[in-house]
Amino acid sequence: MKENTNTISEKITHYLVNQLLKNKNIGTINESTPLITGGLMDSISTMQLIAFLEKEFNIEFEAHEVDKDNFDSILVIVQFVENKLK
Amino acid sequence: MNLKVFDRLFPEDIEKENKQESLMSKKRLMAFALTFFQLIVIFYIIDKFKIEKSSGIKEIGSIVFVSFFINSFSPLRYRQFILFATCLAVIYFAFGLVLGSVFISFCFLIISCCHFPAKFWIRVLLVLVAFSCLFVLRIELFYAARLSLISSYIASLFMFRIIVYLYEIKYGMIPKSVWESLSYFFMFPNICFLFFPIIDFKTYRKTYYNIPDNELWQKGIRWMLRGLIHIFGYRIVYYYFLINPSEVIDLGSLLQYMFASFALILRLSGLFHFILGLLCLYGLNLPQAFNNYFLATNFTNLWRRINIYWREFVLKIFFYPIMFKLKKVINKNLLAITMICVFIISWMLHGYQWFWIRGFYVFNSLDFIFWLILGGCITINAVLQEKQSHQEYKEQSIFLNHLESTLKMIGMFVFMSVLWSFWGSTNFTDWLYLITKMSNYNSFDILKYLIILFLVILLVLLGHVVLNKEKIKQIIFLPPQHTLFITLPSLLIVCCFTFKSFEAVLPNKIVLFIKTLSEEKLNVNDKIKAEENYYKKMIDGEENNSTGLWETTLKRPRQLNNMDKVYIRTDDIRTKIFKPNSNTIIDNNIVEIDSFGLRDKNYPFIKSEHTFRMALLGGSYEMGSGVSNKDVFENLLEEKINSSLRDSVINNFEIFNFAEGGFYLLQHVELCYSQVFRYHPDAVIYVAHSDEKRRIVSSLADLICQGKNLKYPVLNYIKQKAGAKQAMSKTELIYRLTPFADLLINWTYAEIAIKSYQNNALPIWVFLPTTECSVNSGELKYLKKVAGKYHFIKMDLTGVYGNYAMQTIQISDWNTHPNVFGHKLIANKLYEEFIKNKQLIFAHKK
Repeated sequence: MKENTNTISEKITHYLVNQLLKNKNIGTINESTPLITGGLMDSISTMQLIAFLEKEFNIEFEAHEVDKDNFDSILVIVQFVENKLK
Repeated sequence: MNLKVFDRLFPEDIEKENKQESLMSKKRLMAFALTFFQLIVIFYIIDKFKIEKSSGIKEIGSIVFVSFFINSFSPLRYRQFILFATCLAVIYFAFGLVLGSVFISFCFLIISCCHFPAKFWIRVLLVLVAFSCLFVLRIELFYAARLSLISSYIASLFMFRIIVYLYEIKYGMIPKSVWESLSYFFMFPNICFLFFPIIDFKTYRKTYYNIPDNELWQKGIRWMLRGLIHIFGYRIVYYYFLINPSEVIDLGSLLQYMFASFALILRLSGLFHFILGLLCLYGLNLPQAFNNYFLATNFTNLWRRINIYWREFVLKIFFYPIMFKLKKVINKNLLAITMICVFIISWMLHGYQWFWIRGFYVFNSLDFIFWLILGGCITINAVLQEKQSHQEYKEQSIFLNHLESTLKMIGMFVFMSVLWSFWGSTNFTDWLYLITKMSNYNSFDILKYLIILFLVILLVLLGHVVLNKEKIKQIIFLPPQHTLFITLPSLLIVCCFTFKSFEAVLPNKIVLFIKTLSEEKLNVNDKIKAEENYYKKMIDGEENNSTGLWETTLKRPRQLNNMDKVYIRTDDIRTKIFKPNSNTIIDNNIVEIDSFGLRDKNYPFIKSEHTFRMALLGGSYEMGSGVSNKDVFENLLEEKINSSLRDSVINNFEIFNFAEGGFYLLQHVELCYSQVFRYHPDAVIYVAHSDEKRRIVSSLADLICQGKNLKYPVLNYIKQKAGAKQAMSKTELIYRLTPFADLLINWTYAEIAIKSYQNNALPIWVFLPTTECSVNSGELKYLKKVAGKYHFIKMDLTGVYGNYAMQTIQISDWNTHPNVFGHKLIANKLYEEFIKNKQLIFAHKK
């Protein structure tokens, strides 16, 4: 499970740094960096991230799940994805 | 209600309760004392500066003090109940026992519908049924004035929050207790401010006392102070910079008009800051509603900064669900289509909000176009950003970064100002006409504007650089508990300006400036608009919503539209006349119309030999708007003269009152030609007020707009010379007709005088100041000169209201016509003038 968590986290971090937030001067981000409340991600980038997660992990999201609670940091995103995968 | 729910604490609540300082700890008591003191100062400022006077916020001050005290020293588990109870107290205070109980019962009914033990769609249906009842009350399908009044307040509590609440229930969120639900809906500032931020239920729960309450208190005070600053900013713009569209004559005034129009949003942001600050005192650590929106650098950035609660609501309820639905069926342009849908919904929701507050819905094409343009711009911006998001971040010099942001900010501000001026226009042609003024400039102007633009760029750039310094950022984003050194002195300084002894040491200009800021009044332009709308309402029966007040005040009585009962529309210049032998109730007073179609008692048509008959020409003041027939100064004057001036030659005095609301000089001329001299008056009294030139021009513009037959060659000549056409906007017509104001005044005065002399009547000119305007000595001198030129007998009633406070002589805050006492003062002063001039007036009869 631990390895699985790390893999998910790495994939998400890689996508964020090298794709989604590539054109932003974000400096360094860690697992608990606030993504939405910190202004790094907005509704559009959240939808882009969801598209990535759905494709990458073969999961589906519901509209009401798109929430700061589930997407505000890499840590919570990983937890949320894990729950979906269970 | 089951009080056992108090004991049903959730683990996070226990954690929160543990985190809070002990209720009586020294540090906490100190923080409370300082907060309480600052709160008192804030309410003192609200009172002295008449902040949002019509909202009733000042009146509920004592309730806030008591409930804040109780709330602060109660265990956490009781506090949602206290917040709810505070709202109940405000409701009962505002509406009384019976209406308040009806109000609360209806609210309970709506909340109960959400928890009815049935399928979700049945609950939604029940809520819709409850809202239908509210709808019937709101549109006044049957006359129930008080119920109709509370319907807008109930709707304001529920119109958006019920949608959020149902949404959360649908997805499994269960209220922790009945008090959580009740305190979510019953937020007491909402009773004062119908425009209220859309608070999200989940955010409300998550942020409720999520930091120690002593930190929250200071944060609340800080936000309330910020709200007051925004409202003062709004007042400065409103009183000093906002100009009338008809005053836009060149590029400079056009820019002033546009920038000032956009800056008026300061009032909304001020209110929202104040509301959220007040709620902070009760544990709601809610996020900001407005975030430096004037500093937006692009459209999506603006959308994230301006009315953030609205955006969050739209995203949650519409954007994500639509996008998730659409992505299953379309692949291309998903974002663009979703955003267009969302902006159409946004436009409709604004209409929905306006409906509940105003009581009617009007499709406004400008509103639609505004949302279309704004939505389109944000969508294009978002799509471009989406495409650019995968591009590499380009490093550029810090200076270039600052410069780029500065230019973007200025660009956004200019664009939004243009769009805002469009949104605020009365119609498209009006706005287009304003834009044509852009071409009125000379080379010197261009140079001037370029220098100003350069200085603005320099200033904003400097501000941007400074504000981005880490040290400055640390001060701006200080933790709330460390801001006491900012809030307390600031509040005390504002307080000082209200002391008379402090005023004595300040220069006169500053004292005058502070006095202006300490009044909630209409600026000159809105006063004109309000006056015009007042008569428009009289004629068309339309609800007036342009007085600048956003809230339907609690004190303001609802009126039935009874105007039609006493008015008949005409095709001539008068546009309307009274219906003979009719009566109705207007503004709580009986309006009785005699057999000649005058608001007066019945006189014989044939004048007896010993009667001295006078005809009074005037508008709403002379008609006696807001008072009964017997209290109109014309009646009082008639009684006085009859009781003291009768002799063997004249044993009866009659004053025929030809005045009607909305009648100005043009209508008086028409009356002289069509009605007045049928009754063989011995004197014709014309009552002038201030602003004669503006009124006559506006009156002619209205007649041209309505396509009335101007009948008189002079008026047709002016129309032709000015190039005025019916299709033109009123703003343009006023602009074109203003150069002819002097001619219009002279012509109308001459017509009244000549017709009077031709019919053996003496023209009398009376100058009566209005209750709310100071007399412009230059204008008075001019009018006296014109009246003298046409041989009127002149009576100047300047100083008629003595030193009485305006409130004692006006009908109410929203109706500034003289009340019964005001009419008495006018009658007394006019009587004195008659005594002074009696030889001149009555000699020709004798």
